[in-house]
Order: sequence, then structure tokens, then C-alpha cells
Amino acid sequence: MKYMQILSLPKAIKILKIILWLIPVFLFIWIMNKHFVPSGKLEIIYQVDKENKLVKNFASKETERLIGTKNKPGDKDYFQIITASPVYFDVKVPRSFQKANVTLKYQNPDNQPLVQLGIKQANSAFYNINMAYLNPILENLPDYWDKIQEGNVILWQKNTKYFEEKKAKQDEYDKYKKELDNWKEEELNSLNKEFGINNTNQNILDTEKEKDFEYKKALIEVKYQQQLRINTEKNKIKERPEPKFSSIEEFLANLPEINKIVQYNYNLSNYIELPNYQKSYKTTEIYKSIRGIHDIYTYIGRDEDLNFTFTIQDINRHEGADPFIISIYNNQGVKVKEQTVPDDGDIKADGKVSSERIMQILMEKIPIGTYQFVIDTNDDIFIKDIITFQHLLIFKGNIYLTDNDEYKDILDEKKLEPTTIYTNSNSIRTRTSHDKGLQKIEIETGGKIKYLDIDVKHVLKELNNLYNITKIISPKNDVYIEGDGYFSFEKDQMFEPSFNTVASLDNVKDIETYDFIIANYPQAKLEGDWLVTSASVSTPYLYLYKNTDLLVNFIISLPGLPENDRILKIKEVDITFEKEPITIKNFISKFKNWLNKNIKLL
Amino acid sequence: MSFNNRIKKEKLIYFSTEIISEIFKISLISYLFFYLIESFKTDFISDYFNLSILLITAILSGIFTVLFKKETDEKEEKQIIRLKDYIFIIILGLIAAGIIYYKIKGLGWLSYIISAISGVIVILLSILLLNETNEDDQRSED
Repeated sequence: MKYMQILSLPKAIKILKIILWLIPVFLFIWIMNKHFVPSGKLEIIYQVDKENKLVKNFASKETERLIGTKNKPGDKDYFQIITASPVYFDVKVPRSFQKANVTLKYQNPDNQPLVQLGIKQANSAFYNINMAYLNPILENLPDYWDKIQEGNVILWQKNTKYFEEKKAKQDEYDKYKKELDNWKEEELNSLNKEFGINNTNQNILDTEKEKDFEYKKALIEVKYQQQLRINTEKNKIKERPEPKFSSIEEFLANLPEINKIVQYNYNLSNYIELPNYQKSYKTTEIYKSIRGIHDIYTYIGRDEDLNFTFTIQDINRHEGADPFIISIYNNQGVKVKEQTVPDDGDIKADGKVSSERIMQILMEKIPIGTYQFVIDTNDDIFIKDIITFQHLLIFKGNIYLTDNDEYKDILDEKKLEPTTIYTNSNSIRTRTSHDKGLQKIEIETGGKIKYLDIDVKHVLKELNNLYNITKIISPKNDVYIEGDGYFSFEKDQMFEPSFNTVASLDNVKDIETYDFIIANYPQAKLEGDWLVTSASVSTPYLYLYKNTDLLVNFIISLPGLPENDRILKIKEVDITFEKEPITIKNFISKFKNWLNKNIKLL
Repeated sequence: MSFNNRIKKEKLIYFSTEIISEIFKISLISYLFFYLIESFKTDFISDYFNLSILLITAILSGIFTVLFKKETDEKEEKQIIRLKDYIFIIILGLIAAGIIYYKIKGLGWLSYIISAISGVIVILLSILLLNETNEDDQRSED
């Protein structure tokens, strides 16, 4: 009892107890921080040798195939060998985020050319982002290609003049040095002779003679070094000249000749203007009726809007619905607009001609370039006129002229006249489907006039060896004309839609025939023995699946990896999610939202 | 053994006992608290922290506490049951009923009855336990 009275609770115990109680408190705060992410950033790291409850299914979706194996325990660096593509991994998040930055740490022993990150979308398709490229041509460009990098965009410029000069100077230097070496050797030999020295009796000179010998030898060396210095100075290479463009912006604003440029994962077409193009301030009106499927190309210049009006009519000669759909594609072949005029409601083949309907297409402030109109319809639909502000307008592959008495019921009182069209095709084929369409087509090509006699229905009549721009006159119309080029209603409406096509690196045989390479080329950085690359994805592409957990489904896509027996070694995946941080200002509103959501759940 | 050494030994035992019993309390309360959260929101804690760490700590420190307490325990002061104890027991009973209802609410109307009965049982058992302890104390005093 006495001892206990002496042993009053020391201060140390109290402090220690407080510290011990603080441990679970901090643990709780830490967990709450992970859930509510007040800072707005949540980092989840998956290392292949450690389990992470938030990262699931890593490389484990295709159970039938060997996807990867961890290296042996005890090895210093753990990694997972990836032999199949894609590699799936799902990341569990406590709440929704606006952005995710995924960083991959890996080794690429077999030079896998492309690493992509995919994020599963609401429709179960994956939205892919290129993480890292490895192109053997770009990786091994000789050092006379000057490189400018701005973000992931890289411009290489060939600087051969400097290297040719450098090589010439080096050759000259080497040649003179060789002569100098020979001179030195001869001088030393004659000196040795003078002093009677040969290889076997080198140390038989007396002190006086030796001094004289050494002096003369030193004189030769001094002269040699002097000449060498002069030679070096003479062949000194001037500083490496600056490349033609100092920035990518400057390059894009002043594009050199297209046939000297190569692009890789980049599209220059939006920067290339049609030479001598002038904006038109009056409308182009085509009052010649055509029917069925057509592909129309036009060019939109700087500060121009795409503005087209089509007048269509349904003749209902065939069974089924006759919708009129126009899809517009840009330079990159990406569909930028789709517009539809539905069927007139008459799906029978009763020949009842419906009233005229109008489709207007307006696209303002669009990038310059060629635009393609794909008209998807059937032969029941007549395009009676086209009105546009664009003065360059061509039809690819075919045109179906219909101003013929055969279609009197649809053309009303329209005066039926011969139609003149132009083509750059090398060969054309024509046919008609009605007796009223039998005719002799007049073709003016290479200064000569030829005739194509359509004397039988439904038979294609062909004419080859056409030159440059050919004039075609159809006296009766009701003729389908197809060719391997483009058609237009006026000669000056013709243009070459692929004028802005730049060579792609994948199709180039000899890169040395080009002077510039522009590439969107995200590269992995070397950190120690590992390559590190990252990609960001934001809403709406950062799609979160809600089941029992809130999940983001990622894939690492490695095109061609299994087919080419390549492997990839993955060491770590770091996913940093970002959202708006909780501040004093937004705390109350966020708390209210959270409360509402959770009360509803309860 | 000298007097000083005996004092040192006593101090060390006292210090260890205090700390270990505190660790027991902390780990047990933390475990129960985190487990409660986990039962409301699955994986809320276990996604980031392994609850077994707390459980093992509680078990080990509990064993040590029991072993050491035998040597140092003094007779505790006799406890008188006050109104606030009854209030505390009732609150605990209500919380228990609430938790049970939350976990079995899928059963429908039955969940109300089961959770209410469970709450009542918790309250009655707690009161019984307190009274029992008190009676034991009185008996041992006699």
C-alpha cells in the first residue's frame, strides 16, 4: 500500500496516454480524409507486388490466356510480365471525380510501339488515350534532325547543310593531319640517322650529343603542334546554324512545301489553305435535278460558314421508306454533322409525288478545309436544286442527271435542257433506265469530240483515255454517269479535295526525302531503369460505374503485343483523381448535398 | 533486493500495467467504433486500414491487462447506481435497437419488433448486471 502511495501517476503516463488516444483519432481523420478528399486529390498507387484493395482485376480478365506473372520473390524489382492486351484494372473510388491522371511505370524490352489508356464508357466501349509511342524511325533519326518539342507535339527539321560542311571540314582536317604525321615521322627518322640512332642502340649518345638530339627532337614536336593548331583553327566548324523554324507555331503559320513534310499521329490539313482560293460573295445555284446517292465535296476557306440548301422531292416509285440523310465529314474523316429529312409518310410504290421539302445545313465558324457530304438515300429521292455560298463543289464517283421527260410529273413545267458537266476522270461509264433516256453523249476531251452512244437500256457504256478536264454534254439527261474522278456542273467549281494531304510516316519509304516531320508523339521518360508515362482523362470520359462500389474501369491497351510475341513489364500504376477541393465557401453547400444524399439512402 | 530496486520494479510494473490497459481500452473502443462504421458502410474502414490489427492488439493487451491487474488491483470504490447510469443504459439500448433495425430493415414489419425487443433486452440486461455487481459488492462487504 505504501508503495502505491509513493507511486503517484507520473506525468509521462498521462502524456503517453494522450498520445495513445490520439493514434485512433488521427487514424479516423486519415480515413475520413481518404473518403471525403477535402484537398480535392486522391492518389491510389498499385504496385504489382502489393495488394491494393482499391485496385481490382489487374491483368486478370482473360483467364484462358496467360496474361502475366510476377517475377520471383527476392528479386529487387518486382514487375508483372504482360503478354496479352488489353490489361484490365478497375479502381474503386469513394466518390466522383472530375479528372484522373494515370501514370504507368514500365519496361519495354521488345519495343512495343504504342501504349494506350482506355476508360470504359456508359455504352461499354472504351475511350482510348495514347500514353506513349515508340516509333523506330523517329527514335533513330540522325543527329542532323533538329528537334523542337511543345507538349506532346514534336517538330523535327533536317539540318543537313551544317553536317555536310562539318563532314567536309573533318575530312580536310584528317587529310592534313595525316600529311603532318608523315612529315613528323620523316623528320624524326632523319634526326635519328643524323645521330646514328636505331632501335637497338638508343642510349649510346654522350651527354652533349643527347642534349642536342633532344633539342632538335623538341623543335620538330613544337613545329608539329604549331601546324596542328593551325590546321584545327582552319577547319574549325562554325556554330550549328539555327533551324528554319524556331517554334511549332511559326512552322504551322508558314508551312513549307507539302511534299517536304511528313506527319505522324498529327493532322496538318487544317493548316493548309487551298492556293489562290477566294471567298465568294454570291450564291452558287444548281438547278439541275439529280437523284439518289451522291458524294459531294466542297472547300471552306478562312472566315467562311458552311451553308447549303437542298430542295428534295419523293417520287415513291419503290416500296419502303425514303429518308434523306446527309452526313458531313471533315478533313480527318470525322463525322461533324448529320441531318435527316424523314420519309414523306408514303412507303408504298404508288408513284405519288410528294411536295418539295427543304433541308438547310448551316455550320458556322468551322475550321478551314475540305468537307464531304455523304448523301444517303435511294433513287426515289430527287434533289431538285442545291443553293450554297460555296463556289467549289464537286461530285465524287458518280452523278445521276434526271431533267428528262420521263419525270415530267415531278419536274412540272421545268424547261428540259441538255446538261453540261465536267470531270477529271480518266474513264467514264454511262447508262440509262428508260427509253426516253437513250441518247448520244457528247464528250470533249483533249481537244477532240467523241460520242458515247447509249442505245440500250441498263447497259453501261464506257469511254477511256480521257485527258485532264473533260466536258460532257447530255442532250436528254436521265443518265447515270460514273467515273474514277470528280464531276462538277461548272469548270471553275472543280478542285482537288486531297490538295492538303500530307504524307504519313507509316507510308514513307525514305525519310531522307523529306525536310520536316511533325508528330503528336507522347513519349515515356526514363527514370532509373523504368519508363514512366502518364495520361489524363476528364469528365465526361471519366465515367464512374455504380454497383455496390463506385468503379472506374481502365484498360492498358497494347496493340500488336501478343501477335508479335512482345512483352511489357509493368511495375506500378499510379492513379491520381482530382475534384473541386472543399473550402470554407463551398463546405456548407457540399455538406447539405451529402446529408440529403445519405438521408435518402437511409 | 534493495528497497530502491523494489520501488523501481514496482514503478515499472505499474507503468506497464497502466499503458497496456490503456492500449486495451483504446484498441477495443477503436475496434468497436470502426466496426460499427464498417457495419453501416461496408469497406469504409477496411479499404484503407486492416481492422484485424486493432482486434489482435485488443486481444493481446487484454490478456496482459488481466494478468497484470491481479498483482496491482486495489479494491475499487463501491459504486452507487445513479439516475444518470439508467439514462446512459437507456441511450445505449436505443442505439443498439437502432443499429439492429438498420441491419435487418429488409425484413419489413418484423424488423420493428425484433429491434424493439433487442433494445429492451439490452436495457434490462445492463440494469440487471449493474444491480448484480452492486449486490456482490455488498455481500462481500458483509
